[in-house]
Amino acid sequence: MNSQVFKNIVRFVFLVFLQVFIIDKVQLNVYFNPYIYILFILLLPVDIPRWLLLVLAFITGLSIDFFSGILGIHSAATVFIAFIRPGIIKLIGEKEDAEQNLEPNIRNFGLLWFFTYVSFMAFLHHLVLFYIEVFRFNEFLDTLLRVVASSAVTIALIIIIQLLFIRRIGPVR
Amino acid sequence: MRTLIGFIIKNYFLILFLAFEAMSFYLIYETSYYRRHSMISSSNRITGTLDRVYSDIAGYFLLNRENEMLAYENSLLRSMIPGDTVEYPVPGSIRDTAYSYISAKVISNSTHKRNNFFTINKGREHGVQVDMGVISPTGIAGIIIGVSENFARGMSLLHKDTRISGKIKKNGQLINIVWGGHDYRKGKVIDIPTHLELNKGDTIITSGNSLIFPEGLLLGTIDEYLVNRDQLFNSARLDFATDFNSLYYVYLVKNLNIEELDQLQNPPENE
Repeated sequence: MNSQVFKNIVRFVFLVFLQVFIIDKVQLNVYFNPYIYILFILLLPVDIPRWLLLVLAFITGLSIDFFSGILGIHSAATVFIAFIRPGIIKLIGEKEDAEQNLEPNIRNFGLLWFFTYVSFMAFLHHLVLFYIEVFRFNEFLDTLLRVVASSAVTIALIIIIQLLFIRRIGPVR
Repeated sequence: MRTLIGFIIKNYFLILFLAFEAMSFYLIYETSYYRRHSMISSSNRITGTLDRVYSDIAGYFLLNRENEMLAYENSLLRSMIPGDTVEYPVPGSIRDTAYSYISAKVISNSTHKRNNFFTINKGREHGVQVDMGVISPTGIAGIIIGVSENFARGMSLLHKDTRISGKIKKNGQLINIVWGGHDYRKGKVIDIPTHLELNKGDTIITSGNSLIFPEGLLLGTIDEYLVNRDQLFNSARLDFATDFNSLYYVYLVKNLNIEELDQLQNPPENE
């Protein structure tokens, strides 16, 4: 159990650092703003207490907020996907034979499952995030385009990160 | 009472979720442009140091460009020495004694979000205060919204709440500048009275009405005049004078008369 806590702390620091000092510094344009730090929330064990999931999501979002101008935007979006995460996992289908404390990653659940999972979560996260950021509806279509384009990049990056780290441990199932 | 506790226990996940969302929205409200507060400052202290380390490393790769910018600015300043040339390229900025200036370096900046911010390496210690204007060597850049001991955070013109009072240089008509959120090089001029003719290349400068920026700083030049047939005001696309993607050295402008002017315009209520 302790090794799992340690692993998650390392992952948290790594992802926040990657997001703030590498991804956010690559300034393509307003349509491509990937937010890969949500991978931290995605990879928490399936059976994590639900209150802890929300608390961690709030802390994660706020950490990213500290590096942007306004507090609360990322925490609102991240807490939202943490809230719907149990429902999304149930919707895509849990593995019955699997142990409950598994991480929902590519190796444990397969590429297709993970892709569907990331797509739902990234899209919904970005949807909430970008609309709160704009906070007005007269830029509705423009913001939607931003959500779709950025989610696509986020999904691709998260899958690449997963494949890079999984290979070290063993072949993808 | 028991049913209430039972209800809370049963729905604790939903209640905790709503509590966190409420807290987030409270933070958004508390730290947004209209109510900038100390919370931004405390976050500055933590992230400012990290940002400075990053900027120190990344800065090495940009020395050439910075040199060019400084050389350009030197030439501008030189041209302001009386007797050298007649034209003042950044009128008001030097002669005006109603304003004082602090130079600073941008250590973190973005141009690709809907709301962009930057961090500078000067803070309260150096006399930086909230509401000071930020100008680049070529034009205006933003407004300070949060200050900590050694750093300050500014709201870029590239922000949804930006609304800068400007005027058309050739006829002095007042207009407003906003940012539409697409391109960091293009702003939008709104509230242009329909009877006015604007041409590509016309200069837009600050009006001096806002108490933040001195009058006559360059905002940009007109790129395209957009006529809205059925509306009261026309709009135009603006080429920003400031290159937000290469914002390195900036000046903070302090209006020395701001308190007096503020009191005059918004007198304190006496019962």
